[in-house]
Amino acid sequence: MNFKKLTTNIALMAVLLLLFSACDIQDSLELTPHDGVSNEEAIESVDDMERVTQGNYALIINESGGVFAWHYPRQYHEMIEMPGDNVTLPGTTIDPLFEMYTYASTSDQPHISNIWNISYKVIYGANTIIRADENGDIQPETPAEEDRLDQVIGENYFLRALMHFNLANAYAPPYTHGENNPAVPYIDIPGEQVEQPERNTVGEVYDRVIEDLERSSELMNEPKSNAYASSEVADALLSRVYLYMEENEKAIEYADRVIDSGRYNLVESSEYPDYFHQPPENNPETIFAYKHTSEQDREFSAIGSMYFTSEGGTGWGEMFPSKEYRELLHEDDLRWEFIQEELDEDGEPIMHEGQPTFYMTKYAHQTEDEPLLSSPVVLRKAEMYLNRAEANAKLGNESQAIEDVNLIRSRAGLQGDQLYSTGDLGEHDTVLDVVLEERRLELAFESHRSIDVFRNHRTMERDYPGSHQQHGAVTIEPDDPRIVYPLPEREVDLNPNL
Amino acid sequence: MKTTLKHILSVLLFSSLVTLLPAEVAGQDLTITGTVISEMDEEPLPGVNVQVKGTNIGTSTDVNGEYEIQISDGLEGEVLVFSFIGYADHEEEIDGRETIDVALEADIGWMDEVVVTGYGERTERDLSASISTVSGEELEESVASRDVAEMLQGQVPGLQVTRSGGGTGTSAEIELRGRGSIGASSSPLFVVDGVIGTPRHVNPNDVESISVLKDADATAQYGARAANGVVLINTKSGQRGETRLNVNTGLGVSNKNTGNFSVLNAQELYGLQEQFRPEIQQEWAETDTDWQDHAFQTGLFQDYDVSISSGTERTRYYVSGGYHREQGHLDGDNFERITGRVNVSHDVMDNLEITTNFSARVEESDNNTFGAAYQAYTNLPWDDPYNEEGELRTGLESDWIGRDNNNFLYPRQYNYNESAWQSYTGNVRLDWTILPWLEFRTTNSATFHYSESESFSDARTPAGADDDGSMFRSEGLSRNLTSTNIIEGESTFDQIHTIGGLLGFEFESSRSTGVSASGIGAAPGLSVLNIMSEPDGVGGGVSESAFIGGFVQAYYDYDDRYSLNTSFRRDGSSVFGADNRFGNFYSIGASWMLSSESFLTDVEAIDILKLRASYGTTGNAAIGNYQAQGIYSYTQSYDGRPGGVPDRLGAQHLTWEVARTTNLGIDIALWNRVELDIDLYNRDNTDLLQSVPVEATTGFTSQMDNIGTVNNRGVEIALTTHNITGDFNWSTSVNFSRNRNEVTELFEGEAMNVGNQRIEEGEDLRTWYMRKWAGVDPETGDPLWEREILDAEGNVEDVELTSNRGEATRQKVGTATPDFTAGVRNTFHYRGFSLTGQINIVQGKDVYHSGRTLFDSDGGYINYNYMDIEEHGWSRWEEPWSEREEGRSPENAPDVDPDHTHPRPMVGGNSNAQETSSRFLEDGSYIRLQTARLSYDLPPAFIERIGAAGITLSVQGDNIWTSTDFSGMDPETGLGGTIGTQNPVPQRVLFNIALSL
Repeated sequence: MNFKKLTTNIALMAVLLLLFSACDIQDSLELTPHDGVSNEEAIESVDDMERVTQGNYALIINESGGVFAWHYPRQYHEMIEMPGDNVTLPGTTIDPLFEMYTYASTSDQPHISNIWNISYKVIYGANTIIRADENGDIQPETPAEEDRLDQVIGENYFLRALMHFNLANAYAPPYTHGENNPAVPYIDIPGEQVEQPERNTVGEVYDRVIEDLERSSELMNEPKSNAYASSEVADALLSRVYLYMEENEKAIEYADRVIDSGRYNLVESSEYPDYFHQPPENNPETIFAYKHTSEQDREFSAIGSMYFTSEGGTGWGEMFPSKEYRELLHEDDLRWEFIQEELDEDGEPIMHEGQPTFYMTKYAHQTEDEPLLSSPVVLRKAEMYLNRAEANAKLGNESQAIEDVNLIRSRAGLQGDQLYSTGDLGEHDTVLDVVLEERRLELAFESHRSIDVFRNHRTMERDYPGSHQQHGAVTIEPDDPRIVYPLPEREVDLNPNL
Repeated sequence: MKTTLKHILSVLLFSSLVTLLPAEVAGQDLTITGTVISEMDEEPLPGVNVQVKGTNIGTSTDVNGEYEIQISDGLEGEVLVFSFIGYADHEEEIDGRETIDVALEADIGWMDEVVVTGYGERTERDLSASISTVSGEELEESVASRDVAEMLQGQVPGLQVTRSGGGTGTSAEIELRGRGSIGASSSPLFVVDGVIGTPRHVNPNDVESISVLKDADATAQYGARAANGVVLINTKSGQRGETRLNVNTGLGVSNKNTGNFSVLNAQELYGLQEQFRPEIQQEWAETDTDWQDHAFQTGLFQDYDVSISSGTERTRYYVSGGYHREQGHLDGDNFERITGRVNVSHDVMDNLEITTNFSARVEESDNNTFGAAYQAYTNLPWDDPYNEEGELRTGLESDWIGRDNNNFLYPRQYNYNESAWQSYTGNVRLDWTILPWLEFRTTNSATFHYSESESFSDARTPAGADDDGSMFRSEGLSRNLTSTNIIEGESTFDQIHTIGGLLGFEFESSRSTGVSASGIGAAPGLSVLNIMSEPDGVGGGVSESAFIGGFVQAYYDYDDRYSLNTSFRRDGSSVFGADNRFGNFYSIGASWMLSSESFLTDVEAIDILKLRASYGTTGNAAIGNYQAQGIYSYTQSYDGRPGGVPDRLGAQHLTWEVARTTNLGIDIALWNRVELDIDLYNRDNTDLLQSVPVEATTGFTSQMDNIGTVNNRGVEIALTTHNITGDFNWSTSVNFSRNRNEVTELFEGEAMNVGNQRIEEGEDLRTWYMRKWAGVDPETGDPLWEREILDAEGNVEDVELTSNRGEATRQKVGTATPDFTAGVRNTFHYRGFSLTGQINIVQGKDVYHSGRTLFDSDGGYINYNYMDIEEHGWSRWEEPWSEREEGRSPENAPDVDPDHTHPRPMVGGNSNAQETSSRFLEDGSYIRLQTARLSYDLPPAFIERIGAAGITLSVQGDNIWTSTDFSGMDPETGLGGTIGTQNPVPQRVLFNIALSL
């Protein structure tokens, strides 16, 4: 046996084998991810649509961006609440809420682009589902499935409308300042087809929001829990949209629809202090909330973190209810329950940069273990009464307006001369003043205040202690350009049409 | 047949690493003996390699220069090759002789040193490629580290190595010849013993040599992933001859080195803040805490290594074990590592060698600093870490003033944060000389990595209080399999024509999985997930990738004068789109040894003169897995139910990034004293893999794409001079690199902003883009930025100053790419003493000192401490310019305050002056005496008496002295050029004893 020859042959065969095996190995390059589904296969059934819709809700509460772990509910809240007069910042903070609080936001700040990015991502998610339906990609096979399809499409119209509406609130002046002011692009086509859209006007955005919400209200047929959209949720948002437009009859019509639907009840006075300390589905007054479970316990990045520090030390607790707000609350008012004064061992107020420390607890203690867990309320029945009251006040239906205000005040534990009548408006000049003050008291810290002031052409007066004093942010007129947030620098760079 | 079986059996036994078989070899019938001496001084040369040419049969000379080699039937006509570093190879035909004595001629050693290139080995003489090598000895003399990559700092022209901090777990960042990639990794590819690996996993004491492959010719064989160069690390192997035992003990101390940076003490801070802070309280300043004292300590550095190596006629082995421990100069930062390695090679037959390398590392690291590196600078001197009873405070006390309400000393009592890693690499290689001119080689490896990380927050600490104790644990496992198979041939005709080539195929597959879980509610003193009363979260993932490639290479050499090298390869990677997975790469290189030409052989002064040129393409696929595929991810949930979330659009067209490199080089050696290598290169990275920002209105903010071209061109010079030779020996090595980086093409020519930098055609890839700071308004003390006024065409018509940051224009204000980098090393030898000093120079790099946002904020963060600005010649605005001297009026005030650099401080900051702008962009140039090392080899007479082969004592200082204008702690930043609060690279003093038996 010629050993040398044998080894040579074996070697050559081995090499050839290895080279040929390369052809088979090519298949090994076909690898797919384990934690997702390809875009092509993502939406092939009503079940898929429901799962992707679930993802759209998830995006609103989970998606983070920028350098800090911020999320949509918190940042949108800050954009609307910080410029208001219910809050005070005694010291300083490195959180961009400082820029919002002092009306000094610039286009490169993280919240400016983050809210924009998340909104349009949810809009993209909604559009893909709506488009799949329009294209007839999904054909329901049973009437029950057809109902489910309607419901899921309706929810996506709702989410698309909500995102656009909030975008307009942040990046455009109120509707009442002019329909033709530039707002934000209204996107209703899939992302691949979006090319450098121009800004729609405020009027256009509102028209499209109403269109979507009305369709959404018609399509939805399932009384889902208040963590999801349903027909009444769309109606409730319509009531707010029409109120902002001062289409007062419409605002009343939709508020009535929700109030008369029988699905919601104002919680009793005795339970009112606990309103915000329970999961949303346990609350009969909440129409829609961004539901957070233990998995979304944001701790230091929660909304509540700005307002509250737990006993264990979680939370920055640096933003207090303003002195002015505290003084507006009657001592018997149950809404004091949402404010907690911090005292030292001797019962003296703990001072922080010259101000007594008050924590605000609307975003705390959804569970006992998770002091900063909360499910921010988006829509609740009390707002429907206040929408109706404001619309009635503007229409001159004064007694109806007062009636709704008194309903809210009674629930807050006020009675007797703390209630109003058309003949007794307290220190207020007009019924509208009464309604707006009540709206301020009831919906404080719930992402309403700056919008409510400016859309009514009122001036933001912040004549109370706080670091805004040194930063030219005490009196802000409704026509001040600072009331509108700049568009994100990044987007303007990328899209010259903005 | 019996013999064959026995051989196969020994292969099997050997692969299992159970035993080192002293193989029995049949048919030996000739024993050759002899002595090898040095021609120069006629002294015997120990350790000379003696080998039968073209086989693995060989031995080495003993201490007396004597050798004995047995050769088998049919080899009497062969040639013996004698090789030794520093001497020219010498060949002797055996011609049946039994005694062969040889005198070796000294040589310009470096030209014939074996250089490990790609998949093979060539001598420098034959190379047309641009390769720099660093020997194990040179590594020993560099900065002390557990990370081989870090030790390369300043040693190799064109290689920029930078540490982004002094933590024990920090890895060095590396770039070769400038940044060529944007979205894909721009780090060179690291290859350990022929297998893609990680430098950090290699014990530096095991390193035999490092080759840095720079041009396309050099990297051809790694072409598919070599767009940013290749660094080959080769570990030691056993040598024929006596058994050698080496024991190395190193001990050192480290101390923080905060350079030019310091923060204020209690009185200084009070003095500053009382000017603008109405609520300030005088008693605050009665406490003066130096938080840096609490954060930092004298760290301890320990290194113990043992290795044993030997070789018989047919078997060579190297076995080592090492223990390394670092107690960081930042308290709570600890690192420990155990490494082990077994490298064995065995000649199964005269023409078949099997080599097995097995290495293991086990690492543990504590990161129990709890923010100390941050709080050491930001915590207020007014806060005392201890209360009146001497107990630690949490920071949550109502009279705690500091902004973050943190006292890093408190959680350190109860909480922990630990990580650990293990990796095991097994590597089997067969070298089969099929015919004298034909060889087949197969290298197969499996690597397993295990990582774990665990953190625990006790219920007694703020972090765990709300959860009644919480813990998190994650574990990850990854495996990587590779196989490289090469058939290679080389033949010489008529003694002057050498022709060779190789054909190869390789395959790689990687899979990693991970799982993590967290729980809350723990009984005091216990920390394991099992006892947590409530689950809190769970996560996990799987990621896979695969890679295949085939390649061919051919070369021709004429009379050691002209050589030509060409290669081609085709590769596929799973990360790209289905239709674009494969890429083709090629290279061509040529060299001309001018000094061998007849017209130069007579010129005494010129030892070597060689010209090199090469051109070729290489690829880059270093992006995340699955990037080409659009997916809905199911990683998020709402209301406790999973939801599908659009994750990315997908890009089926995604394909290889390709670098096209031209390299011209000249190698000169003169008077046997001066060695000079100069390389000029031009590299275009095209089809850059880049996460391109897209308008958010599309639903996505970025998309991976092949977009644009980046050019890097530059010059590298390596100069070594043997200034004084003889008893006293002085040599100097200087390396200099100048790289010019330019983005030459972007998609539709559109610039992209990435953080505070801008990617724009015609500009450096690391161009800072931010609002341009102009100074301070002399009358108001407000900050000033530049605002560009544009004309109708969009050209800058005028520049005015504004105090409104929102109106200020972002501009290109500098680059984070250095103008040049250089390293200078001097080595002195006298008898047993040797002194080495390494100086590193980085010039013209703009560094963004982002930490100043926090501690230089003009009142933006009143409850953070402030940096001392006076040290840097800066000052704060105090009064209007017009009031500083008689006779001035506001109308005459200059545009910018000539006397002050810092705006008027106020609570909440002055008009966002602390936000990003070129105000905090500083010159990060520096010159650093990186290392100085003095060593002494004990005299042979003494050594022999105690029976050792050598003892070396050394003392070394690292990071000894730095000259820089940078205001921060350390100008050595990550490659990106941003520096925040830092745990700076420490100063170290080390003592080392190396004993060999």
